[in-house]
Order: sequence, then structure tokens, then C-alpha cells
Amino acid sequence: MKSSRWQFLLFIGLGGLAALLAVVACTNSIQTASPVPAPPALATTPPTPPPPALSFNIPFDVTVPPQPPPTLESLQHDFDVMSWQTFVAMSWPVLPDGQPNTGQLPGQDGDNPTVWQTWKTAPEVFLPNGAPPPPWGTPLASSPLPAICRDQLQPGEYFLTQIGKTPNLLTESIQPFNTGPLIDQNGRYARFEILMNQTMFDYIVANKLYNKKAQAGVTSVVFPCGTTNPANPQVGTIMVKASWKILSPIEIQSGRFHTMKALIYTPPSTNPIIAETCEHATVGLVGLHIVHKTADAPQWVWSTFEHIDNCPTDGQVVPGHDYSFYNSNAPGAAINTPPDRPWNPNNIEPPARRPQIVRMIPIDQPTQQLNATYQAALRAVNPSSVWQYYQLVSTQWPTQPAPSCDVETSAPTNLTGTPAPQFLGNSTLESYIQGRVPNVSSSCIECHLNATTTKSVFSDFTYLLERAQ
Amino acid sequence: MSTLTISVFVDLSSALTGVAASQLKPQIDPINIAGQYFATLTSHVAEPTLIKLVTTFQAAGNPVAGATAVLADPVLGPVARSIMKLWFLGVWYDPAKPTQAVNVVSAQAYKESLVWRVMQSHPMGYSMFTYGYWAKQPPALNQFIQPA
Repeated sequence: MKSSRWQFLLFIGLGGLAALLAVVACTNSIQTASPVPAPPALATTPPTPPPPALSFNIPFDVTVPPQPPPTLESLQHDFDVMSWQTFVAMSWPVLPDGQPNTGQLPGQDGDNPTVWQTWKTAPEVFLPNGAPPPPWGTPLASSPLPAICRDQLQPGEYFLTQIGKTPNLLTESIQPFNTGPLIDQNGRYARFEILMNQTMFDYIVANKLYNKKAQAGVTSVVFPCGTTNPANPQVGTIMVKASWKILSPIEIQSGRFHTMKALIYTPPSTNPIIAETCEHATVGLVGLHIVHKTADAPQWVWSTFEHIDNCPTDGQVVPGHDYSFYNSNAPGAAINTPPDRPWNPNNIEPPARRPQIVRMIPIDQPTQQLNATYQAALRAVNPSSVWQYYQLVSTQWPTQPAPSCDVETSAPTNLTGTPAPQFLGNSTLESYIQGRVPNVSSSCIECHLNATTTKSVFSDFTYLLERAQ
Repeated sequence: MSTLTISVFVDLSSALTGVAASQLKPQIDPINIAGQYFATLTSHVAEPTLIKLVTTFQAAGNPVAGATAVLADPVLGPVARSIMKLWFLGVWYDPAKPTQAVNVVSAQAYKESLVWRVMQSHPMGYSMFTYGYWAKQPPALNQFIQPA
């Protein structure tokens, strides 16, 4: 019975996993603060939970406590914890070889380049003419850049090319859903990127999925789930989608954003007319999807984080607050509506063309509490840590997960696994499709179930393979 | 005298529809369609009738006999048929006017209607299958309504 999967896991699997992770946490985690003796608890006051351990180990899977029996709410919490553990591990200070610097904590010495930023970006994998990508670990500077940007990439600089969450946002006259560019309150267009971990990269390379012709021979795509086997635990496939805003000098000085120096490419277009440009800028992280395929969640675990200054929740505007994507002084403006075409990311758009973004589904109270716990732990590392300014919106996970890593074969009548929560969106990545209407409002798993290769074969919940040439 | 609980409602619904109770109300249930239907039923049918529904269903000794007894009862039969239409169509029909649809319970009720599973298909405008499913043999009926 699929619906009893979590009960089943409870008894035979996760007890062992919990024990394993406890050992891993004890040996490899760095505790941020000594446990502080709690004040005497009042009868009506729940006990204060201990501060979470910050670890550079990406969790292999969700950890479900053995008791009490899991509920929808308790499992949501477990997945939210996994999201935060993953966010912390992936945001860990990184060494030049892409490994976490185990001698440091996130934000300890100010902002830090992260582990996930060393992963492969989509343009590095899906190359012109379907060429094989250079091996894992090859520096970005060795990858082919558009001619206008060539030789401009400076040491330590990253390369951003995508103007929307979906590729070709500006030039496609018809979109599958209501979308458009995201423009901040400075009038600048947000930028986006998609990255993958080595597990995903290796699978794509091994199966030549970077090449359109090679995809013709592919009848099934099943990315690795990873394993919690104590003898050889493996992290499964992980994708990351990041959204960035170009920062003003004041925003850079604020110390509230994780930043990076970027070379920003705007591709040319004749309709609409857009000049090809390459621009150096400091950008700040405003949104982050982390999508992780695990043995217990073959439909993937969909975690989404945001910068806390992005926007208010609908109806909960803090007067006078400087939001990145909402104007507190224009409360009557239409919300979550993209500006009319034409869209030109080389422009600084006037106030009337800056969309008024709000979060349509409030962050759950337990998730808010978990956010406060992790933000406090990050603040304990460094009171001015940029990482304290990020929050988990929620985590979507399959309540009836497929019995095996091959979802299409093992769960043909419930391919989505009945995700919880039903709807989930990031204000910077699903700005215009938030809500609670089935098949219209943003639901990670339900949308990505439609993803295919260039030959219309189910691509295991990623649209990336459509980029193969 | 027993009142109708959601647990009894799901057991009765399973016997009436032939769909496993675990499909009607999964243990971990983010949609809670059974809760929506239970609320619909209890808001439209008088308490004495609901009590008689429980008593008649449980007195028969097993779910199939209970459902048969309910369907044969002149008062409960129309209510049972409205419950079946609720599950299969996501629509509440007035038991006193069985051809008169009162309302679609919710957007979720539309896509969760059992008729789509029995058809081994999907609602118009909403597919839970992967691209190209139409070129393949659908999974067997039992996989939709009585999975192992």
C-alpha cells in the first residue's frame, strides 16, 4: 500500500538512517553554539529546541524520527529540516576544488563563495552543436563564452545568461503559462541560472543527453536517487535554480545579500530589438530552488528559499519597508502582473513598469519557526552574516513516493506521488503563477511531470534536457 | 445510536464505489478530499438520516452487505447514490431530486473524481500522466482503484 510507505520506512529504514546520520552529525558537524541551559519552563511554554547543528554534509535523504508515528505535519517538518540542512551544506565556504572548507562556517568571515556555485551551469553542459561538455572541475574560463564576452571574464567572476526562469523568455511570443521578466524596484531585470551537481552531470555525460541526436536513442531517463546504505552512502541528483538581482551600491553596502561578481550576458534579438551586451555587475541572491532526488522521494524533494526582503505576503505589507520587488508606496498597483512587452533587459525600467510582487500563500507557522531557528544559528556564527537574511518558503515532497527510483515504471497511476504542499512558488521564480488553482498555479512536481527530452521522452522531472543541441 | 464519523464514511464509500479505502483517504493526505465530501454530506443530510445510515451499514456485519442494505432502503438508497455520485463526479446531487446537481464541491473534487480512475484516464485540462501517454497501453484498472 503506497500510502503506508512512510509508516513502512519508519520501521525498517529510517531508524537505521537516523542512527547513521546521528553518527555523521557527531563526527562531521560543527556545532555553532554550546547548548544554553534553558530557563525553567512554564507549564504552558513548550521546551526550547536546541539550536540546529550546522554541517557541511548534504543529507542523503529525509530523516523521520521513529516516534511518534508520522503525520502530514510532522513529515512536512522533517522535509523542511532536510531543506535547511541542504541549504546550509550547499552554502558552505568552498575550496578551490569545489569541496567544502571544513575549517570554516558559513558567513564566518563575511560572505563566502558557496559549494553549489562551483557546480556546472546549464550553458556549460548543453553546448553548441551538442558538443561534449568539458570534464567536471574544468574552470568556467575554459568554457566557450559568446564572442562579445570572450576574454572579459575576470578571476572569481561568474557568468549569467538567463533573463527568465525559462530560456528564451524574451523572444518567445507564446508562453506555456503567464510569465514575464522579473524587474526589481531599481528598474533592473533579475537574472537566473540553473546548475547541477556531479551526480547529475555524470549521468548526462554517460548517456550523452547533452546531444540532441544521441537523445533519439534514449527511451528512458532515470537520474540516480542516491543511497543511504551505510557502507557507501551517496548523495543523489541535485539541481539548483538561482535568481539574482543587480545590486545598487547601497544594497551592496547593506551586507544583507549573498553576492557575487558576475559577467552578465544579454543575447541579441531582432524581435523585439535587443542589443547584445556583456556587463560586469555585483548581483545578490534573491531566490534559490534546491531539487534533490532521493531514495525516499523519487519524485524529488523541492526546497525553495528566498531573500527576506523580496516582497510581502499578500495583505501583510510592512509600511515603509524597502522590498526588492514591491513598492510600499504604491499599494493599489496590480499585483503579480508582468509589464507589457516589449521587454529589454538593457533598459532600466521606469517605476510604472516594475511589477508589484507579493507572496500569495503565506509561509506556514512551523516553517517560520524553523526559519527563525536556523537564522539564529547562522547569526550565532557571525552577527552580520548574510545567510541570516534567507528563509525557507516551503518544501514540496511526494506523500506517496514511487516504490523505486524509476518513477514512470514503478508508479504509473500516481506519477506525482500526491505532493505536499499542493502548491508552492518562489516570489522570484514563479512570480506570476502563484495561487491555489490546480494545473494553473505553481506546483513543482505537477509542472515538472510534463518535462521531456528533445524526443518527447519523459525526462524525470527536469526541463534541462530540452536544451540539448 | 452512532453518529457518522469520517472513518465510517470512508468505509461505506469504499463499499459503495469498489475503490480501496486507502485510495479514498490515504494515511498521509494533503488533499483531504474525503474530508471535503464528508463535510458536504453532513451539511446536506439531516442528522437522523445519517444516524440511520451508520446503523444500517454497520448492522449488516460486513461492508458489502452493509452497502447492499443501505442501497435497498427507501430513505437511505437515494443518499447512498448521492454519495456515489459525489465520489465519482465530485458533484453533490440532491437525494430527493437525483438528477439535479447542486454544486461541484471544489476544483480539487473535479480532478480527484473517481470517474477518471475508472476510465484509466484523466480529467479534461489536467493530466497526471507523462507526455505521450496516449500512445501507450494504460495501466490495469486495479492499479488505479485497488493497488497492492
